[in-house]
Amino acid sequence: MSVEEVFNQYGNMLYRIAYVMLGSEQDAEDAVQDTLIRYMERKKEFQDETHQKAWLIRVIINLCKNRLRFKQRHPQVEFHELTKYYQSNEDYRLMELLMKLPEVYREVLLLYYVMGYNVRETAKFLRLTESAVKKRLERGRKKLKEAMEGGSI
Amino acid sequence: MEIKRLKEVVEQISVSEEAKQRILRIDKKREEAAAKRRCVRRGLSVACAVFLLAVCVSVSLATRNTPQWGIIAYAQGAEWVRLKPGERVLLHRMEANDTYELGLELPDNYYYEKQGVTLGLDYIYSKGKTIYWHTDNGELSKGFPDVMTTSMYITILDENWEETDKIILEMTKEYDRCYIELKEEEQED
Repeated sequence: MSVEEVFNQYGNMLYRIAYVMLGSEQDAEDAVQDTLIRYMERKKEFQDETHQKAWLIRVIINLCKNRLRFKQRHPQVEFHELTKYYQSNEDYRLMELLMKLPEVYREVLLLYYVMGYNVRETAKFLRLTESAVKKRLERGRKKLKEAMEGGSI
Repeated sequence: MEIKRLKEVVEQISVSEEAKQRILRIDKKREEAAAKRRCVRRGLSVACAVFLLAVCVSVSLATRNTPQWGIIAYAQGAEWVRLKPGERVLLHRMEANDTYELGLELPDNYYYEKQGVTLGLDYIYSKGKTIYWHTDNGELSKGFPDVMTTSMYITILDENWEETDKIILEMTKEYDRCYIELKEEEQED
């Protein structure tokens, strides 16, 4: 596939992952671009579309984690950007809280609830045990729920 | 419950057309730059082209089997040594924590996965790029053979989590001595 074809098929998915992980449009765009560059530079063929998709997801998560580690800070979330996507206060609030969660909870919730991967697949992406993924899902859900009910993250 | 709405909420985020153009535009610049690098210049003589080809082939052959990693062990003589394939090394116990130690030397952003191993009641574990071998010489361990061997399988992963190499370390305990050997690469039939 050409890079443009890859972007047309997976661009939104990659952007969403990066945006939730990094908290800013500019950073998300950079991460998507870096992922596409790596795609261009990859020499080996993919086994199939599933393999290609999983590879792209793994790369962008890795890039986001590296970027977060490099910056050595929690992402400065550009919350004002969220108004572009959400008219509903509830949706805005849920997204805001998701992006305030610590990285370790955000990434499992993203892969499990948004991308639709199961626990085993999520564990494989993040190089965790299944038990660790389940614990992080449980804690992430709990934190979100508490925050929605008026608590803080 | 709100958590079930996460997918619906996150999927409202999409790349704008402007962002798409930005992302793909810079990407095209890199493609052009890469194409320029790959292009053979006009005026390059055939002799030069052949010479360059010969150099490339030589370099490729020389570096083909050079691994991106290394394993060091704290060995007899209380010094760190790099393991060589097929060479058995007697380990030296670290005084600080009373264990034997191995270190993985990997390029930045490379990772590894290790299968768990057992050797009698010894405790072998890894933390970061160090593998610790804590021997158990208590009463219960006396029920095990005096000479035991196990193999540790390590997979090296690059920055994209792609497998690049597999390593086999043979760990041997003979009475109160511990040895490590980096196994030779398996020959393909």
